Amino acid sequence: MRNVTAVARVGLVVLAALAWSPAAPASDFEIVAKHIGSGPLPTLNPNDPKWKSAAEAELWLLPQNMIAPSLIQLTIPWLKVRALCNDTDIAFRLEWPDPTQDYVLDIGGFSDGVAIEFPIGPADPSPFMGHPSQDGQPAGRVHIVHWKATWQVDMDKGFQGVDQIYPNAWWDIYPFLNGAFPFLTEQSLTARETLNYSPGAYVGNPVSLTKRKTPVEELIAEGFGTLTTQPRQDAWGVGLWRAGKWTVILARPKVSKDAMDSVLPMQGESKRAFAVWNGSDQDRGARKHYFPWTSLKIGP
Amino acid sequence: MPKVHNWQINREMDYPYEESRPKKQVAYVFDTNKCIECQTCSIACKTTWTSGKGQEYMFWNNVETKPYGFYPLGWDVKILEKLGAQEWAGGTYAGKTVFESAAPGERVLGYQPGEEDYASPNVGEDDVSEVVQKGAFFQGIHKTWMFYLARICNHCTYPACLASCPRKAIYKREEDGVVLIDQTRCRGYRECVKACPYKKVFFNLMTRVSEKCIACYPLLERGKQPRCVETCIGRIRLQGWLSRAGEEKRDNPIDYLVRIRKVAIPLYPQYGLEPNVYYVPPIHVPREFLLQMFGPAVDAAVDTYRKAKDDKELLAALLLFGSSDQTMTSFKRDGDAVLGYNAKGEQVVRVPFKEPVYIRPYFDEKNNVYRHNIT
Repeated sequence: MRNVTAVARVGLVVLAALAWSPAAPASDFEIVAKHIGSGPLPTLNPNDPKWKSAAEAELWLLPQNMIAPSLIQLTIPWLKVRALCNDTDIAFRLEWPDPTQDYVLDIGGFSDGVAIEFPIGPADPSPFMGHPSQDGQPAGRVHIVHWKATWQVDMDKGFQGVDQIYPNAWWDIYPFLNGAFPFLTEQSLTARETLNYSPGAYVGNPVSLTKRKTPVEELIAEGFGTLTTQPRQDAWGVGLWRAGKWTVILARPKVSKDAMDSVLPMQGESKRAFAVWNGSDQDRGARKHYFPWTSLKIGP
Repeated sequence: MPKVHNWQINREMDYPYEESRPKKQVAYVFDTNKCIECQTCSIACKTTWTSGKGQEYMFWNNVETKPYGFYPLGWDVKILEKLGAQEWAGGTYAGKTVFESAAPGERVLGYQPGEEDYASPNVGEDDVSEVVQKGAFFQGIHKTWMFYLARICNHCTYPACLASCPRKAIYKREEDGVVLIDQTRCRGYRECVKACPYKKVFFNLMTRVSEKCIACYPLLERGKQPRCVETCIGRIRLQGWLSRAGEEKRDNPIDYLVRIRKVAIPLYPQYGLEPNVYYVPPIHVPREFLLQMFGPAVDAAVDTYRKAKDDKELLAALLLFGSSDQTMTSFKRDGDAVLGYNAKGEQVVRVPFKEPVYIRPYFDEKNNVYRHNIT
């Protein structure tokens, strides 16, 4: 998606400035989470008809250029958001155009992704990872729920490692791996000693896990560069790419037992921000599309 | 952006963090004139650190044939082209470093290599600069040239990898200057892969985070030299500790070779990273090529090296290479021999300038066999 014109980008900046200004009406970008009673949310099916009952907000995205490394060229123009909730949980259906499904993490490959950010506590942290602002706003904590295309494919088709990226590659032997070529990950990486040559996994980096329960990661941040995986994971979700569009559901409890999670009101107003990554454009980390704090009304 | 002093380009320069030098700096001298590209160093490194699944294309240590060898493909010429003209005014660099050339929204001028760039680790091996013309071989010294360039992480004083990491997951150890990636903090953004102009940070396909040379720090901490140094059969390498400018010690072999005799010089100092692998430049290579690669200090380095055979103190320091697995922090010439000492002041080696020759009988009566090699 490289067809966003310069004129449109200027318009986006104006729109975002309005959205970020406390005096501006938030209604254009307001998200209303429709309460559907005490029954389960359709958190694993983006095409469930219940989603159509929720109002859709269309958010015009901005390139993150507050801090380096930044995104210069916008490749994803918009993100459509619907939200549903029941007595305990809230779920967001996120949809955006992307002609390529990017999940292969080879040397130059990056993953598509989407994230929702929630402020933690009564303070009013900056939407930029809770980073202290130049006008004196102190650092605040934010709670982030992040879905990654690579993790989704890990879940759907098995871990996307060397076997999948280079299925025809030959390798004589790996130290400590069991079996023989092609040394499939799930069958051969069974001995503890294999971790000796897998330092990220050895130290338990959550990014390096070869077995996952969810494509969603819950994180906490308190300023640029502080993003950290939460020890306790409460969020879940699913992503589906079809006909040039990603549709992702991110779900979480309104209130969890985790002190690192934001608390959402059972009913009333809150806020959140969004970020989207386009892997084929080498988006990662701070190189992302974003939409700053927008109002979320949790309906009765 | 803070200003820091870079002695290799003889000026202040921009760097994202304040100047903070370690208590001691790990440093190496590689003598390119002695390298035969046997790749023993590459294999020693690979078997020690990067034999795992997901590390297949990683070569923390590699040896490439210049001018046409690269790993990854075109690593230096690509960044040289991006950097533009690199003028020196005497011993001072007048161009821009990779930090000063960063585009808006970037921390460092760099590029992200593609997977095809890593497809041929030994591309250009033994290729010479041009075709040897018919008959040239019989007409004396011909003009074609090549040399072997052994490369590891430079454990730079101003690492571009560290500067580029938005998570501060890369750090430089205060105790020895070794640059490491925190494997618990890295999230595989590969900003460091993009930023390092020497392209010595690699992405692990299985762990999905980046890795790099760790200077064999478990050996350093025990007073031993890294694997690539210890195993070098050409004895081209020496590892030690480089003192800060103004604190040089004449009996420290690294200080002596780098700062006092200036026979070993940094690779692409104009990038601005203050790299800490110092090369004795290949003396037979056209000077224009060496100036681009090593800067204006190359003239004096070549002249000094050419005279080494008559310079007993310099010869003494050069003969320490490959003589011990221990890190030698001081040396002393003793007549026509050199003595090397470890950090405890214990003598580690005594290397004669000229090795004695022993000739053994062709036939070994004790074992009832003929010897293949009698000297």
